Amino acid sequence: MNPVSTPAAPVVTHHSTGLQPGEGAPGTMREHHDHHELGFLRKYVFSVDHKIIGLQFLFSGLVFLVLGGLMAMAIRYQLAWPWKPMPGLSWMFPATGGAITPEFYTMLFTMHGTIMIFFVIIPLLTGAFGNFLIPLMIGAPDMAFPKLNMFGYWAMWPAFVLILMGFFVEGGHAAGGWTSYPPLSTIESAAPGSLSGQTYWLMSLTWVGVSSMMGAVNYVTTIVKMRAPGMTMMRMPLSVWGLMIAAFLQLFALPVLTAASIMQLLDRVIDTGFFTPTNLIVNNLTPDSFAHGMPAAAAGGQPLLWQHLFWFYSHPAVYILVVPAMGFTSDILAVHARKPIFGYKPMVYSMAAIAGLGFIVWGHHMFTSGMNPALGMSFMVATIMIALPSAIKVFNWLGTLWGGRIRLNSPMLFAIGFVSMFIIGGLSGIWMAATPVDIYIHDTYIVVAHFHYVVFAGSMFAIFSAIYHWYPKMFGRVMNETLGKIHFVGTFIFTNCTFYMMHQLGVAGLMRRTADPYAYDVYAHLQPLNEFITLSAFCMFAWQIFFVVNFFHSLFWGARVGRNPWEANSLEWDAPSPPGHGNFDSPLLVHRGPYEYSTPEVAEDYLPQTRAV
Amino acid sequence: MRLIAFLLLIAVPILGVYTFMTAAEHNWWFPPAYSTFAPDIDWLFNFIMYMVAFTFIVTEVALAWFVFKYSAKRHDKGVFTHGSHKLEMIWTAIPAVALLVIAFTQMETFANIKFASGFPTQGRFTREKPIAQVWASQFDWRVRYPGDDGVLGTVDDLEAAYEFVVPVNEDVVFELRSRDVIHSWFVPEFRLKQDALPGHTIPVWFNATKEGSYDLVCAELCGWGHYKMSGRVRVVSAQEFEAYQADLKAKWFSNGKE
Amino acid sequence: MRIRPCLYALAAAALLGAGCQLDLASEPADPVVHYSLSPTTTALDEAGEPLLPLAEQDHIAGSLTMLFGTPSNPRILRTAQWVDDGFDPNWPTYAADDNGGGEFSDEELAAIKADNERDFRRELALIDAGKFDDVVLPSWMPDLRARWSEHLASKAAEARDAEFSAEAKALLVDFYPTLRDSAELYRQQCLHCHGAEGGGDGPTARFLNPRPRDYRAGVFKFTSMKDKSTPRRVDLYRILDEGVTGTAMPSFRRFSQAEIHGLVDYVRLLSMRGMVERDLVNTYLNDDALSAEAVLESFSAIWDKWSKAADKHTEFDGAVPAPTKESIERGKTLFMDAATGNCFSCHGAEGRGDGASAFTKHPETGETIPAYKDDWGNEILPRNLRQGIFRGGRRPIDIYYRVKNGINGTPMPAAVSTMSDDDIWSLVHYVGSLSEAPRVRPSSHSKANADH
Repeated sequence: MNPVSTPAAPVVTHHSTGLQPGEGAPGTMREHHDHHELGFLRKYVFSVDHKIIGLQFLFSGLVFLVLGGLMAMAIRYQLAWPWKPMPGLSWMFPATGGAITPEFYTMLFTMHGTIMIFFVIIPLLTGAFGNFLIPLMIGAPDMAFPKLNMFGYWAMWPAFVLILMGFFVEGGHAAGGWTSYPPLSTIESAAPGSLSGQTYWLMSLTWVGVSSMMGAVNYVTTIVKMRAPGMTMMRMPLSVWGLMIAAFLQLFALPVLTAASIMQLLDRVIDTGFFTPTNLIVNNLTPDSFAHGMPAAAAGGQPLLWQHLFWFYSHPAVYILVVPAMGFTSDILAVHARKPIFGYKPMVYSMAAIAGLGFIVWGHHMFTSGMNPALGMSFMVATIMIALPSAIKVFNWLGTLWGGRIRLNSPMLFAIGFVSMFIIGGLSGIWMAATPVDIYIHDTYIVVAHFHYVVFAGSMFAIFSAIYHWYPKMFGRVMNETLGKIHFVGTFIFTNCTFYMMHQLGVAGLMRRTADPYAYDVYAHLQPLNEFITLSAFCMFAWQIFFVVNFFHSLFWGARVGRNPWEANSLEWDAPSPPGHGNFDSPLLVHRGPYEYSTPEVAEDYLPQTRAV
Repeated sequence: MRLIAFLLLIAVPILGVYTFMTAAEHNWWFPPAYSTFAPDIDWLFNFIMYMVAFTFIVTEVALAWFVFKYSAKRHDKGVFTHGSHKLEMIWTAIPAVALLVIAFTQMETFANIKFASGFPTQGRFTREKPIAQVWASQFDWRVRYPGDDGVLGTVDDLEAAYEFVVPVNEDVVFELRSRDVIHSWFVPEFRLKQDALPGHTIPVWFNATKEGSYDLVCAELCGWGHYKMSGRVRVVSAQEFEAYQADLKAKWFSNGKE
Repeated sequence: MRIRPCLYALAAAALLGAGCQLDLASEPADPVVHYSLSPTTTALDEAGEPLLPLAEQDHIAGSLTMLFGTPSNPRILRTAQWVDDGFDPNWPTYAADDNGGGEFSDEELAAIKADNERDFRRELALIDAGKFDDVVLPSWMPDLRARWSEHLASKAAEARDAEFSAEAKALLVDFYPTLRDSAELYRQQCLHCHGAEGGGDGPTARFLNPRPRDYRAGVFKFTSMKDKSTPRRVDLYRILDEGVTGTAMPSFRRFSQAEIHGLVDYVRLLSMRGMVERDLVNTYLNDDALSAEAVLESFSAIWDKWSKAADKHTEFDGAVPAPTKESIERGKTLFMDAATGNCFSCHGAEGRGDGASAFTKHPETGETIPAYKDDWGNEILPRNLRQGIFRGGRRPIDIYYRVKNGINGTPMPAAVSTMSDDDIWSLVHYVGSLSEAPRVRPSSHSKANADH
């Protein structure tokens, strides 16, 4: 049997014969196991198995997480003690005695943002868990397009290579902020990082976009076409809903970013002028001087155009970063609270509402940009209203916990942590949405606090929670509970010490992206507070050692578990741990939704979706 | 673990509120408000803050309490419910109203600051007759006053580096321009921020209420020297402003013997 | 069974935490920067041998350290003569200066103090409130911080009285940076462009156009001095205070006047150091030896150059005339006149910096390239006078200096002797008016319109 076509084969069979999966060909699955003679390369590297691809995304995401985290530490170090020798990096700067240079600092925060968003959170949420969970949760043997899926992962590799290469070109990596506003990013002479680092950045992001697009097409098709019999849309776990909604966001928003990055690439390489106005004099170069590095004199472009295009993708991208996390949290809360999710349908609708509204709020990043202020008004109303579905979700999570029989294990702790932190991140967003207030707090540390509460304390907590929760399914072993709890307590404390205090910095008016704020009279007194934040951030980073040790230790020596260690309902717990090729070894028939915990129908406090009563 | 989790979760609202309440003591709070609309912005900020704080405390305390109460070891089953339509309606409608209230209270202040109709039309400085043109470039601020003829872009314009001098208690309109990349004009004390867009001339207005000298910060990443891009806005009395203009003119036509 | 991984992790975390805490319990130490010799000193000849024997290079480096100290302890050698005279070159208040008297005038000192009061207003308020321990002084004032902690240590917290606070306030109000303070501020704010020795070769420098100034030649472009003379204190102060528009040099007025004066002191030190280095190399190459006397001689010659800079100042006594239509017209004529102004040959007939003699053909590729290089070896183009960017300042007197004296280190020549002051002012008016003319490109647009 051709191993590459294996996973798709049973599906085709079932559909073409009109039989339900698992019903018509009971032997099929077993047969796969017998013929499972794939070489190492095929099995673990160029795999078409959604689980392996998910794990590949997981591991590469975690590697980049370390890189992005180290950059964050370097940024924090500079903010606490500007222009002191940077530990570990001082060999790079002999001329300044080991202190970093300002252009290096701009590169650091640019790449911290880029890596964390495009190479950590999105790949972890949609890449790793999207791949691993979707087929398992809907009862499919694999993705709809396994080869496309493999391509989706391997399309990340050009992105990895390009983004890492960018660090070694002259002038360093892109330094125009992760938003890379032109003309700073399009004109080569405007910043050292715009020399060629920006080109690598753009090419890398285009590849990330290709990868995400493959994934999104695959997820939507799989969810729509390949659900197990009885698995109606409204019986799907909220994780699957979250992932599907995120996939739709990517499908509709990504083309805009891809087009915009190609336009910016053209501006850079063949001197078109989409985003570059005429008559600029940048770093002493003008269209009048014949020196290179300036787009043609006839540019006549519009810097605001990029901002519109960029945020038309990147605002929905913010929801790509959080909607799947909301889904995971909902599932994990329900499992470990031993209670049905409170208000399943409102949860689905509110996720959809967040995604829908997410498309008409991009302008709130541009209230001070010089955009027509009338637009600001309408964007403000839409943006403020997006708090509504978020609020509904929070209330429903609280409702889920109410009256539950909560098991406080590591996945549950991180899920509760997500809810607690998401409340802060969500509520502080209202300030940003309010146009007059945003005039003051735009680009201050309040914004930094806000999005770190959503993306780090939110999405990253959900990712930790999901790793603890689905680890038994991934590797057949559980992670150590004690270490997990220690990990949670320290991470929770230091996360709040780090990011909560940034609100105060922001209210005091401190600008983000400022390498050395203390030479300003208004900011001079903020250094001690920044020092505190930096020390907390270091502790938080160091604390992750508990996770790393736990993760790798449990990989080899964790306690082995059966199929359903958490006594959960959804379909993935019907498969062996870890699931073999083809996922399920017995036919599936879904009888009910995934949240029948503590039901009076049976003696146990859970009732799997597949069990007939 | 149950107690630890409870303490951690309950610490969030307690310490959170405590931090905000004591922030002013530590000087980690708003710089003083020295423009006519700065108090409005502060008021709106606080208005949102109180509404947000209420929600924050209620939800965080409920979360901590639920976690504590329902994680106790018990041998019965949890409450079996799939939700409540009534509750959903309540907690959709109430926040919706609150959010709309928040949204609509913002509009007037924003219109006042940003809309052309909010710009001063009478007085010494209007959109047609701006007090100055402020030029941003990598990495400094330069101010051009119109000089004797009151028109910008003529030979008798006076230019000053770094410092933008404006009269106190007077509506001031200036034109914001950029020579190279995007910059942003930000004076924390005035609560006013406006990006300088290359290729655009953006009118900005404010009315400073207290004499003094305030840091002018670039608030949009403009390259490696972003942190160096500083300026100052000096607010002076009307007479001093005239004197400054005269002095600037004298310096402009100085013969180099300072 | 479950204990083992916990122990591993705890141990690792404890180690990491301890490492962090050890490092971070106190503020990290300042980086150590070194002065190195200029590339011209350490250059190799065609055979690949050092132009100067290595021993001689060490000798020069040693002499320079003796004369000017190190970046962490910069100081100018106080000669026996100066000790006798009670003169300290390291205390710029008494430095022989260009303003005639060799001291800051009373007004200047008063202005410096007033600016200190503004700059330290937060700290002064803390002193008034008796919160001495809350005062955090900026990291770029190591000496002041040392004196401050000395002062704090001098009296127990209970015994601090009015006199103690008065002294504490005086420390701040009378602050004038030592060279070490200024060197630290220079390291934080200037070094990454201008380099430790002021060679204009810091790590950021290679991305800048124009390149940052190399102080070592003692040539500064935008001054009011004739004959390529070293600048006066006010010339340097003005650059730091206002920045150089159109370049990456910003205004540093956010620092107090005392701090900027301190930076001027330090830049002067670096410049003198570079000039002495160059002089010593030449002395060695001419005489094939370098005696201790020669070193001191060279030092005092260069010190004199700087201290007597004011003699070379271009004086203009009359009132600066305001532009009129006629003067602008006259300026235009002179601009286009090959015998007097001859400006058009470089700056172009329209002042766009595209004159014929500014460019040349690359001998091999035939590409159009700039015809001139400046003294630092960078290709240089004439200013486009229509951009409204005048690096040395847009005031008429600034442009007057440029026309009258030329620009040091560049192909821009001083005005020919036949030009009267009136001629120069006419040129100044014309040049000033160019950037105000409507910015329309003359080429195809107008032609196309004419066709219609």
